[in-house]
Amino acid sequence: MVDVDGRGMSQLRRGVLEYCVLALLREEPRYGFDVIRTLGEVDGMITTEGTLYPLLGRLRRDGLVETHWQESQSGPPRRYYRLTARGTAALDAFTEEWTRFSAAVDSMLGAASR
Amino acid sequence: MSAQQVVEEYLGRFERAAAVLPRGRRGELVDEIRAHLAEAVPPGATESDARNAIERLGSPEAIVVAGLDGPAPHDTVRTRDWVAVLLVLLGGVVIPVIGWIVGVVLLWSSRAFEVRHKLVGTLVPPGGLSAAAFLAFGVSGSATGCVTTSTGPADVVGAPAPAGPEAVTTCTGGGSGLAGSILLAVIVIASVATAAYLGVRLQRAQRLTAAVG
Repeated sequence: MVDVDGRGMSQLRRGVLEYCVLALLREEPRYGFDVIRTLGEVDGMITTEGTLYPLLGRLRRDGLVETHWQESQSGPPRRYYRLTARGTAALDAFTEEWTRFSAAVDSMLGAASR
Repeated sequence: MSAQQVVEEYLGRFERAAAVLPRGRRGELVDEIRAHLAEAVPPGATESDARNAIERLGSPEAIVVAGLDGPAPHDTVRTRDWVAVLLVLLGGVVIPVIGWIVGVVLLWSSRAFEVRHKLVGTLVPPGGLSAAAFLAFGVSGSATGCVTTSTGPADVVGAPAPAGPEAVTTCTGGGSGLAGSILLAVIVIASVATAAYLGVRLQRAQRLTAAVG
């Protein structure tokens, strides 16, 4: 059987994942564990939960998200991630690009299988 | 093993793997992983709960590699990287000057090291062990005190033959046998420590590479 989840696929997944995280944070600020739990509810979204944390750190260094601490009822304060204006702009640009790109890929795959 | 012990053991492994990250990023990441496990493995969780949570989290190495910018700068450690370390240490002894220079060139063209490693590898001490060999030669001859002023790698080639009269005339300090010995010891220790520093770096990078496949 062909290895679908080889290098190319995992790179594609990694590249797209950060925009899924941004999309999730557009709804409301979330803390890391919450982001992972929510992404985990969608099958095939993440393979290694822990790699989400370096990703969140990078988004913050790039100015796409910002963080703040918020008290928690069940333990120590949590670090919340929130979308910035720059993050919103990046997400909008990606959404437009992705819609075009995925439609193009779908049509190629569909044409090839006929 | 209790759930808490499983978590602590994982965090220990994580901190060791994270040593390759810049300090600020390392602290933040360790905090996040710790907070994650506190949520995922609440008090009262069983050992197998904890093992499941850790399984899903992924290996420390995989997470740390994801925290490096871009494609991992030390993606593959090759034999030539080890040769570079060896030559920086011993190259100047085997083939004076040239052996060391080849080592330095290999070191700077390697992708397995960051700039700070390359700087340390080149400058501590320049010439590697050959600096010590040169010094020892000088001490055993009559030119005791002056050797300290000319430990640069460029001088090593000239050292064997004309060390006699020329060196003596430039010599100012007599009776510096003790100072010479101390300097010799410092150079030897510095050379070996530098090689060990670079070696540890390569080993860590190799472990990361192996973990990510």
